[in-house]
This record gives sequence, C-alpha cells and structure tokens, in this order.
Amino acid sequence: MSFEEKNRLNEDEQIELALRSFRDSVHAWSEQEFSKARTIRRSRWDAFWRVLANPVLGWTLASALVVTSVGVPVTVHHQRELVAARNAQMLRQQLLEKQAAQQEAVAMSDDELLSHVDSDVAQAAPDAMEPLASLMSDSSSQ
Amino acid sequence: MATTTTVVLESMGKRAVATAIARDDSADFAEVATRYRPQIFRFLLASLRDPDAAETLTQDCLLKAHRNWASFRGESSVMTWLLRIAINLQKDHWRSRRMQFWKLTSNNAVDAEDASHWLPSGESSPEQQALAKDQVRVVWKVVKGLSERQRTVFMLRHVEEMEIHEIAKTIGLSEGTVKAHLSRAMVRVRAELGGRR
Repeated sequence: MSFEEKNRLNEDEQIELALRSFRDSVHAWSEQEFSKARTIRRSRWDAFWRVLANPVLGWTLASALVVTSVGVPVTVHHQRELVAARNAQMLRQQLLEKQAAQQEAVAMSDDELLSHVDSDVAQAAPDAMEPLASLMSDSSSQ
Repeated sequence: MATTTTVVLESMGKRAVATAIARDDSADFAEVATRYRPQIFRFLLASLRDPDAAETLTQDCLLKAHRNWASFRGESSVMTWLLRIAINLQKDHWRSRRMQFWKLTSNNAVDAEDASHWLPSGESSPEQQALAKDQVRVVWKVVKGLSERQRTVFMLRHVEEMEIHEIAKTIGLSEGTVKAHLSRAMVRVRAELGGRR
C-alpha cells in the first residue's frame, strides 16, 4: 500500500470518526432535550402568521386586496365624475335662469321706453285746435 | 393493551410496523406517536438547533399526521411519511422566519459551538473527548454553512442513518440528486477536517 493510499485511508477513518462523534453528540443532545419538560409557547404573532399561512385565507385576502386596490379608486373616480356632472348641470341651469331674467328685464325696459317716448312726444292740443282734435278722436273711434 | 401493542411493535421491523399499522385501521395513533416522536424531535432539533422550535414542530407534525392518518395508505414507511411532514413544516418554519425579518423574533437557536459540547458520557479518555468535541464542532460549522436541502440530506444520512433510497423517497428527489447533495456536503466536511490536520 502506497503512502498516499495510507494517507487517504487515514483521512477516511478520521472523517468516519468525526461523523460518528457528530451523530452521537446529536443523539445525546436530543435525548437530554427530549427528557426535559417543556411547554409549547406560541405568541399571538405566531398564531397570526399561522392563520395567514393558510392558502385559502391567503388567496382570499389577496383577492380582497386586489379588489379593494382597484375598486376603491374606480369608485372614487366615478363619484367625482358624478359630482362634476351635477355641478355642471347646476351651473348650466343657473346660467339659463340668469339669461331668462336678463331677457325679461330687457323686455320690461322696452315697454317703459316706449311709454316714455310716447309721453314725451304727446303734447296738449292748443285751445284753437280743440274742436279739430275732438273731431279726429271721433273719426278714429268710428 | 397498549403495553402489549408497544412490545409487538418494538419486536417488529420498521417497515413491518408501517405495513401492519397501515393495514389495521383501528390501530391506535398514540402508539405511532410514542414510537416515532423522539426521532422526529431529534431530526428537527439537529436541523433547527432550537429545542423549543423542534418541540413545537414535532407536535405540529404529529397533529398533522393524526389528521391525515386515515388517508395514509402505507405506500411508504410511517417514519418516511412522518419525516416528510416534518421536513415540510421545517420549510414553512424557515419561510415564516424569513418573512418576519422586519420584526424582532425571539431566536432560541443554540450556537453551533455550544451544540458541540454534547457528547455521550463514554469511557473514552479526556484527550479523546476533547478531540471528539473538536471534530463535532467542525462538523457543526460545516452543517451551518450548508443549504437547507443539503443540510436535510446530510442529517437524514448521518444522524438518522437512512439509506439513499429512503432519503430520496422522503424528500421527493431522485437518488442521483440526493447523492449529489450528499457528495457536496461531504466535500466540505472533508475540506474542513482535512485542512485542520
């Protein structure tokens, strides 16, 4: 057997020994720990994460998150559009009312102007022309 | 009745017990739990180095096994089935630990240095004890640096002394992949131990 082969065998033995020691160590540790009385402690967070780890619940929460993250902005946008449309309609209505009021005011002032002009133009007939004036009024009445 | 059953189970081989239990629907699950609990605990303790976590996951493993006991058909041994559950729980445990990186979680994991202090009280001399302790410390150091899968394979092979085909069945990998993982782990052990001499 060559030196290298011997060396190799020696190394293998050492590794075998180390692995056996490791196994024995783990077994001894495990036996020691296993015989200890131990209470299973679980924090509230552990329970929370355990519940979250449930795939059905996980998918449900993920779906709810997606629906919320998409649905809320869409709803808010829709609501804003509705409010904007309502406001625009109200403004239009107010404008129409204002225009109608202005037209009415303009119409009233025309009548007033006509009566004003009429009163300005109209003059009392002189005494000498009074019979003629009564004659004209009689002929217009006929 | 329970004592008789335990004696019978102890006298039977692992595979025979699995088949017997699997075929007998009325078999008491408590017998299975009593028999395999220490081994599951040991595997989880070696993998996690946290006695409290190992105990919790052992309980979870047995609880899960109890819930699915009716569906166990005995296609694999009970131990393989239980270890498969334990490995999945261990994966979930690591995953949840990774997810909780932002919060301070109490970590009871024993340091590899401390774990190497455990040695069976044999008849060896103090020198041999010291050498063994040093070797165990080196192996723990290597184990700590292995990937999750490599560590699982290494533990099943060198702590639970399972055969390659059993490990493959337990983890759900091909025998070739298991051998590759084991080989990579052994290269590191060899390098660490070889480099020390």
